[in-house]
Amino acid sequence: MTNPTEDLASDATLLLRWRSGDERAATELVERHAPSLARFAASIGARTDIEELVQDTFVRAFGSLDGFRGDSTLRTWLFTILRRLVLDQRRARARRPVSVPVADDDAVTGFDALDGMVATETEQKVRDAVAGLTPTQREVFTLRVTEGLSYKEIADVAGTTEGAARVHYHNAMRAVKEFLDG
Amino acid sequence: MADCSNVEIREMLPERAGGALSAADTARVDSHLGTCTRCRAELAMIQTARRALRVLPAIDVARIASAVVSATAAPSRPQLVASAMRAAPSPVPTRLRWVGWKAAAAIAMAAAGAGTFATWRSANEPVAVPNGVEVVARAGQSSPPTSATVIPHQDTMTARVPAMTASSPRPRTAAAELVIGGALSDLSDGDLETLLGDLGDQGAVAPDAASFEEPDVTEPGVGISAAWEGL
Repeated sequence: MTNPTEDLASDATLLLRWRSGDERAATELVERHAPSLARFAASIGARTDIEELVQDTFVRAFGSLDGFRGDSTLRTWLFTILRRLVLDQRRARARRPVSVPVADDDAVTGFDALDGMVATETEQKVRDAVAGLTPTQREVFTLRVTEGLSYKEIADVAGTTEGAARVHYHNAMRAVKEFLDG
Repeated sequence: MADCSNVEIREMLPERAGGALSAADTARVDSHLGTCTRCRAELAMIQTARRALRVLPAIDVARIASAVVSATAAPSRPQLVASAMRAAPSPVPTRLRWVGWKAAAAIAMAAAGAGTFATWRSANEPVAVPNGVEVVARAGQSSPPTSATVIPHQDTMTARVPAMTASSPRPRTAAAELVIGGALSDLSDGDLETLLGDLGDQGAVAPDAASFEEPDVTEPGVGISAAWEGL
């Protein structure tokens, strides 16, 4: 079904080049994956510091390539690191008494940061529908539909099972359809 | 509208929308789409969602790339990697946090000990006071005095307290040595180990270090099993 072989090979090649000291390879990897990471960060509730989160994700990943076992794709690994950073950031903010904690229900989608974007009415309705999903459904739906991750990859990112990812996806799909039909 | 019962085809619709299917699978899906309005509707919804959700938040990819390259280094230069990781505003590794916690505990205990010792010593030494009275601590205390009796005196006021009794010796620990002898920075590694050991013996240890363990996020799929609930 999914056949990201070319991307996989390219990522592997770029990693190899970077490990041998080619900084352009690192730049290429960042350019390739940063947009997806930024979208994912927004979809799971990061509203500010998205650029910093993406940057930290790469710094952590490139700084610990020895820990990358290669049994997942680089992209999945990056999503996993970013997801953890977003959760850590949210917890840290929740501990700060002067800050406004980002609660799960408040994590919506980050689409309100997308000022200036022209959207069709249908697209806006889909955004509204996705915004109404539970955080878990929204995360799975975004990874599946927007980023094209397989259930296995989603399970790796979120630390769950393929079966659970599949159930969340179909529940999300049903909820979105019902919202659009209603 | 009910979902199509052809689960295999439906499962491929996101990949079809993203153009990630092989030519053979694309042909199979397209053949099905020709006869199934429900799957066509679902594919249309997925394509709309992709357009709607793939809007990029405002980031400067070139700036990120530049920052990442300068903050990291190829593994052939591990010392630069280490320094980049230290510079990154990411969570401090668990082990470093634990060492830092112990050092903070040591300093806090040393400060508390210093305060106690200062109070005790000042109470043991004569203190000149200007109004010509004598201050004598109540006798029979087996611990550093907390109150004193004021006795009028012609020249000065002197505070006297009984010597520490045999029943109240303070254990001479590395912490005590630290308080008496100098600052934390004067200690050697061995002294610091002894100090931390003493603090641990006195119940000043942190909870089990294991409770501070957090999963290494650089290892995919490790330690984030509870993360669903975290979102």
